Amino acid sequence: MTFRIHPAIGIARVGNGDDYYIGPETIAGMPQEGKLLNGGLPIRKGTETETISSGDLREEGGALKRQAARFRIYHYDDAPITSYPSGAGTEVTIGTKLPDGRMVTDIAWTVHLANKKANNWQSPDDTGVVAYQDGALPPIRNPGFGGSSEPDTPERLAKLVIDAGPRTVSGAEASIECDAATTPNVWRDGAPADLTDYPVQFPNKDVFPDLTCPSGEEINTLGGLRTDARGRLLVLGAHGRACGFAADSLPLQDFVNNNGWFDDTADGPVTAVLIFDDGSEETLAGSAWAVSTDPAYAPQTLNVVSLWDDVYTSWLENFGLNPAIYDADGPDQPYVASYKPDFQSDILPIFRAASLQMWNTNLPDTAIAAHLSVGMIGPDDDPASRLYIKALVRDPDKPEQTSVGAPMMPLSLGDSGKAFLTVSRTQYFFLSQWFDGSFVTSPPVETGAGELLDKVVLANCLGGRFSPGIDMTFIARDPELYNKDWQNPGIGPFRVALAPLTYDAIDPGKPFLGVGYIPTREGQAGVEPGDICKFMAIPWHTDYNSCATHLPAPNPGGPIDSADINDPGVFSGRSNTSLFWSWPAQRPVAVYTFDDLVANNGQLPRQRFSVRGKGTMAESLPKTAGAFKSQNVGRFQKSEDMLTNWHRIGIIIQGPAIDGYDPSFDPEYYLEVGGFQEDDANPVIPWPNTLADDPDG
Amino acid sequence: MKNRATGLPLIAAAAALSGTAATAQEITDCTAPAAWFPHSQTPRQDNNADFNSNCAFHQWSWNAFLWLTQDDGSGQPRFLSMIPAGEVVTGEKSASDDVTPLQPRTRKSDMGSAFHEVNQAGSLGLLVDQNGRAVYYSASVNDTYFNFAVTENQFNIPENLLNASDTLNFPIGALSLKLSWKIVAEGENTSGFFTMPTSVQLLTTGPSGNIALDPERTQDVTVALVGMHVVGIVKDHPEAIWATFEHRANAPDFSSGIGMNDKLSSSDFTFYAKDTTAGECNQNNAGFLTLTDPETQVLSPVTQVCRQYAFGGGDAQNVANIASLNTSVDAQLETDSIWRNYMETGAIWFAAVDGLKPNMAMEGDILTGSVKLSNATIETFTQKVRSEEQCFACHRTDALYPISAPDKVLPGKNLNISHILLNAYVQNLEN
Repeated sequence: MTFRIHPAIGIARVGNGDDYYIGPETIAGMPQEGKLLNGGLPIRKGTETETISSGDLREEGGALKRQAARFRIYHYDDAPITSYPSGAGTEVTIGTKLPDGRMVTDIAWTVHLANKKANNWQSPDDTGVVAYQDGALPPIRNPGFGGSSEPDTPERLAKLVIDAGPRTVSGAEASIECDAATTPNVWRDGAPADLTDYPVQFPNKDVFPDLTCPSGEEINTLGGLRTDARGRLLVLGAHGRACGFAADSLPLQDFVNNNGWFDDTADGPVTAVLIFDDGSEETLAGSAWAVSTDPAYAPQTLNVVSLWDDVYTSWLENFGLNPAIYDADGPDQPYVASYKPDFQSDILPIFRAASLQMWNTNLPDTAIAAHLSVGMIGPDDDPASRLYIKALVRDPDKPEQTSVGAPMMPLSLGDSGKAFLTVSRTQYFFLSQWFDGSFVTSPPVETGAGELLDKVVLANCLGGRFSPGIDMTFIARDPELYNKDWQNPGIGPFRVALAPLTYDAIDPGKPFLGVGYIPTREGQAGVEPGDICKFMAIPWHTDYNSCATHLPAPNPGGPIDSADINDPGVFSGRSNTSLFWSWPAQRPVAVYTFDDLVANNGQLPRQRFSVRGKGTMAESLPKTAGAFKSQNVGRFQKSEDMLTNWHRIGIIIQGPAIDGYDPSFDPEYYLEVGGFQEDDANPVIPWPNTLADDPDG
Repeated sequence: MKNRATGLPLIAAAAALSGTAATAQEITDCTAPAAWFPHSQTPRQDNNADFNSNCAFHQWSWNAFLWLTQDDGSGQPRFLSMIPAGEVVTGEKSASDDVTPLQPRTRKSDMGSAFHEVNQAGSLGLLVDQNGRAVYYSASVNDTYFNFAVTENQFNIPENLLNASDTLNFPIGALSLKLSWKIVAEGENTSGFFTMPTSVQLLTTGPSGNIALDPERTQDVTVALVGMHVVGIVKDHPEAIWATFEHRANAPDFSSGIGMNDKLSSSDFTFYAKDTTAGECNQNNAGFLTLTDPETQVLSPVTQVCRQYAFGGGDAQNVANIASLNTSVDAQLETDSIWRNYMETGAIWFAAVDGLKPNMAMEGDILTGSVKLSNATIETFTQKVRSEEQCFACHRTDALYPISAPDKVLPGKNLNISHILLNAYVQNLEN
């Protein structure tokens, strides 16, 4: 018998409140049998599966609650894993009696959170992992800090890395903080042991005299750990704070790579020890990973390409995860032509995701109708009549299609040199099989409960456009990120390759963490705490603010260049001047508010921008020569305003989950609640809006 | 020159003889045959001609426009006797003396036909003229179209269209029109326009702030013709020739290399105030348009219109042929003809013979002629959108997803190229 922690990667989210809810354990927007509410809603604190209502999103004073990542342990037999999914796995909690007769009396969890963003290389916005190939590295953030631009210098490692150190928690309803005030500890010899010499690192005025924290609070925690009544682990995100440490840290100059800044997102390994009634302990061989990131502003909107789709494709293609689907040694093509995907789990999510985009974007009515129609496709419908994918869905193996905007789908921006988004190769294979009528209506192998958690958590995160993204970035596609020993039943698939962390050998006064993981490098030691989030924007708020709508990059017709008198590209027809969405499922652009719906007697009202508080009005044309302000709508015009307003952005959830929702209103509406009361933003214009489309934008 | 239309800027020559056109005259002999004139003797366009040159397609276009604008003996141009598109929806053709085709119609199924349409193609914006009034649209078909669509195939019944072969084409000779009309303000000089009295539905502000027509309120007005799409099926071209004509004074053209803050013209046009910058042109007003005065029907803001691609783009030969034809027709029409004030903006069709296929991509080498063709008064806001900048971007052969019934998909077919037929499908689903 062996044990594994699930999910393989858990997602916590920041909130400016102390209270929390638990991350969703159903896939966003997917129908739930016998329920009015579709998937993706977070879970109410203290419950197994009870989903939240609008009243659970914020604390009494209005502060946004944090999201906890819930981790569980499942037991498996000792046979090597040959394919995912296996259908196996039974949960183990405090009080579980195992088949071998042992009773679990306690679970000791250890989590080590860190943030290495400020000591990482710049996030290469449009190139992704390509910037790391063939030994290359992007430019370093905070060049010259402490007299060095090399990330492995002690001063950089000591000052630019936020490291809470490990924390261990055990028993039921327990709690510990991953903060500056408490002492790190680990589980050792059957009990928590303090690491009094551990070099905890948080930015403060002693280290950075110019430290400026617009929210008024310094970064003094990266989150916390809780256990529930059955000893499961909850990893909480921190509070969404960002602090500048340089004398000239304001105004914020960049969307993704701001030198002189910290934020309090984090990530790190989750390990566990099981304690049994016979006095024995078992340290789990494998590990999971906790990532804390931006809030989920639209938890029920499924991304057309989710993080799961990227991770799953990477695992199928690089690790032989399921040779029935992808067989690199196969006779014809790697994707096995005889494989029949399951309509419900492999195909329907793509259709549902398409149908949900209308709630976060400014799609016109005709496009909404088409998307809704796609969401209604059932297994009995004629594929060619309902969605002629060969003309409407980009083939990821045909690079030329990534330069074609509408009507090719998905109608979102791409990454890594692709102007427009494509579904993953696995998704396209599944869609092609469906189109050819080669699919089944019940899965060939059931997915085990723990295996399903691995999938669900990642399915609720952003994929496809890692520039750099919201939850995790392009490293999700890098085989070097992962533990290749997945067929070991104590490890399992989708695991981040944990670097050895020897807490017995702490050198007082010296930073514990090093440079850590570098994408694409073979044979490296593994992944350290803080190595996942370090590729994200710093601070995340500026990227979130800016990523409403954009021109394609690269623009298939060449860049807009207002300085080029002969061919500025705006009116010549050379460039594509339409504005497209980056991450609408994760970063809503245009929304319908619940208040507006009520005022409009249940009929869908006009949309508003999701980000619409004071300071969001884009300047009018042509006040500034050469300015193309229509890209600036739906965001704060000064990036730093997001640092103090991110928690005021409303959350979009399904109508029946809203307290006081009139039952006569459509239950399939997804509406913003608790958003900005003031609306200083420009009016929302239905797509296709273009550069200089709006006189106010 | 006698009785030359007054009140119009003398831009006919200016528009036709831009730098491009001057070059064009050296490389084309594409002219209007003398046999087309006088206008009273213009023969019907030959839909079975040998369409073996760019010029031939444009000649068909101009021939069709002249034939349609010819007095059909009633004292009115022929296009006014065509069948309102709304009758393709109802399947009931009015007797010619039963109702004046452009009278307002009251049945719901007639929405989208004569003067009951203000929305711009492909967007929710409205074209607002310099007086603050909305531009209205009407659509009509010829007998060949109606007989095929209704009499023979009863495509006004959704089931029949649903079951039609996906490769079935419209017959040669099927013709459809879409016209744009400006409401004439009191005292406005319209001597250069074709005008007529009619009745239009009035605008109102809907519950969510949108501007919509109120079928219960109409107004008798005089309207002036500012644009006309002429769409006809010809031999070997089931996709149709998509030609469009505009009043010459509608709007200035963008010139090569124009920047965001450059002014297009120091002259006023019908839909352009002098010295307006490029960045202020063609701004879609969906989302912020307001009916500032329901009584006078004045909307805000006024739309400043610019033609993004003169002659609808295409290669130099295409531009030359259109410019040459425009000049040639202008020179041969009677000097007092009102139709001298209209020009072919451009025409687009397929490079391939019998190239129309269900669910096909409508871009790239398949297109020829004016490959970036829009009518500045009908596709004002979409002419700058890469994915909507030419007729076939929206007139496609892929599936139709009805807004009111997204599950009642009309699968991809060749017939879907005509939105009049698609409107019939959608509206009859609702009935």
